[in-house]
Amino acid sequence: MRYFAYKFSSFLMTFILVSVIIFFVFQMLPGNPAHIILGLDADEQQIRNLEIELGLDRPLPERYFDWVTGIFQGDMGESLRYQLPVADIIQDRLPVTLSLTVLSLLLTVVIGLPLGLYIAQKDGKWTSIVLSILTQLGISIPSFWFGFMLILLFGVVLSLFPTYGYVPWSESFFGALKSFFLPSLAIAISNIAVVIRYLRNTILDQAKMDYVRTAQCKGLSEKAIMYGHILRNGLIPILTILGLTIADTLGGSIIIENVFALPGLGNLLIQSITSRDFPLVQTMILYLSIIVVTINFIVDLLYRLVDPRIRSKG
Amino acid sequence: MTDALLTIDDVNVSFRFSDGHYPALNHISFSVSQNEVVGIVGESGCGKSLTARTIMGILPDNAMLSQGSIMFDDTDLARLDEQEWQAIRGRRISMIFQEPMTSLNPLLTIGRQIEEVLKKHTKKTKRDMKAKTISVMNSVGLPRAEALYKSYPHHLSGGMRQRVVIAMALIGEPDLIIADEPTTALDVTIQAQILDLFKSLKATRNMSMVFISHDWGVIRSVCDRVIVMYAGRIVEEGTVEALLQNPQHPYTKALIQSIPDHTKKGQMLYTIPGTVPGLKERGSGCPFASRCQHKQAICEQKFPEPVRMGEQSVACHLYSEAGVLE
Repeated sequence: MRYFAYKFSSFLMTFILVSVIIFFVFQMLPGNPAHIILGLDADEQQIRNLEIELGLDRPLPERYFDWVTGIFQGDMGESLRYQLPVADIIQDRLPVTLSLTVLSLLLTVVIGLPLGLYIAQKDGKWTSIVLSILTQLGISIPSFWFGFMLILLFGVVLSLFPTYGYVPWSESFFGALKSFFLPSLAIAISNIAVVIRYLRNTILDQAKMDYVRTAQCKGLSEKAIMYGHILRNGLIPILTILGLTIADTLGGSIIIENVFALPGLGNLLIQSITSRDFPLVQTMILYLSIIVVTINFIVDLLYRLVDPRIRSKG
Repeated sequence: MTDALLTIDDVNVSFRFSDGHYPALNHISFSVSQNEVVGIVGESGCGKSLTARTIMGILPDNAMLSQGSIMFDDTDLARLDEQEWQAIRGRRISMIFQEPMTSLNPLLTIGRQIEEVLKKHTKKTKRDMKAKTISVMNSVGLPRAEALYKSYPHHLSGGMRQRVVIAMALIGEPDLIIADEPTTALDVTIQAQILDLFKSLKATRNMSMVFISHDWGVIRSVCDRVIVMYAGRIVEEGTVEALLQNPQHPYTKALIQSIPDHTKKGQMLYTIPGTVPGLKERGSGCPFASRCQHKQAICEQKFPEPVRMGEQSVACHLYSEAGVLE
């Protein structure tokens, strides 16, 4: 229980810190929203009136306070550009980004873990050289390049997947899965490479541990030792890595959404930064950071599930 | 000896490196009888642990058994494949290690780790396995076994963990236990408790053991016979009393001379000059020659054949010459 109280308070602290930073950083950016909305021809009086209308003339702390209390009351303000409630706009876009994130995380786990495990067991001089080149490539090539290649191969040449846009989950499950598959894979590739690399290394390290020798001396088979002892220990660092890749995945989706013309948060984020749509930008980034913090919290819970040493620390 | 449980005959083990094969165990031969505890002593790097791993069939990847037989009952362990080995490990031969802090899996409960042996080798029901595990835990002096069954290694002290490792080694009711420095990493008081446990196990379970240690005090308290190893060879072998009272090999003499005791209080403790030659520095002669006060020309050329002298047998040219002279 103390653990959850602690977690909740740190969650709250993160929220406050993130909201303060987001709010003030965007106020410091050059460019007046009223200018951008009215265009270059607007005169002083028009700009002045719009500023008052948008509340831009009031002092910063007051505006920050209004924004934060608004969020707790479910009112996130109105977009300057779309003249629509921010909540509505985000609600339209959020499913796309969440689908990409969840699906690419799933692909990372489903592809990365078994592959890393397989490669660790097939350890040899050549496999390790080829593997380190491949994973290095996977890590260093940007996701948008994989995006283009996947579009070219599976979308254009083989025509197996749609190359842009998406089908909502509510409309057709398989249609949605199909439309999100390529962009998720493009994001996942570098994470898969990271997972394979780390999993292989930790498994090879763990295999040298004393407890493995103890298990051998009980007469356990190699398979039983791998799945019953080594893998469990090897998963701990992998969980850390997965937690770290979440932020990457969200960042990756901003670019990939543009490559695949998906109307997600990333796409919206870029547009609203250029148009100085502060209420929208602030809330979106807050959303993204809440997603990151939540996922990290889940990773933390998984940690406790796997490692009794963390559990007993409380 | 007709009742030998384990007979190791002329075993060689070598390590493979990028520049060739290097022998690490040379012509190792000894036997262990029913209800006998055989000690192996020697400095670090003399091949004690490698001998243990050879008997267990868990040599490091780059080591291999190149010669010899390991007769256990009527089976030559040296000819077993991995699957046949697995049926023997934990069930007929088990092993206890030096490092109680790291030899348990940190993520699994104590009960599960001990029970694993039964799961592998028997077809007992869950309830029976648990009952048996708890009773073995009690027999090795683990308190509150019911509660400990569900706890994790990090809850336990080093001494308790070593008891868990011992319980693990005992639960399969093996014929032979190999203990590789089982008390070295423990505090002196805990060390005495664990030694007492070994002694009582020997008395009650009629158990045979190979007991590796570098501590003559420990050897004296549990072993019947002792083997002295140096740089991958057996240099002397005999009953514990015979070796302690009347060591023959210069290395054994030096080892015994360097045991601290109260009569030597105030004096400089004897140390053997030099170090054990590395794996790649060993020639065909006696590996102790470079540190030996009685070195002769032949010592650097040829390793002596062991000579029987009453309760012990020695491999040293000092005695083989005497044999030749008649």
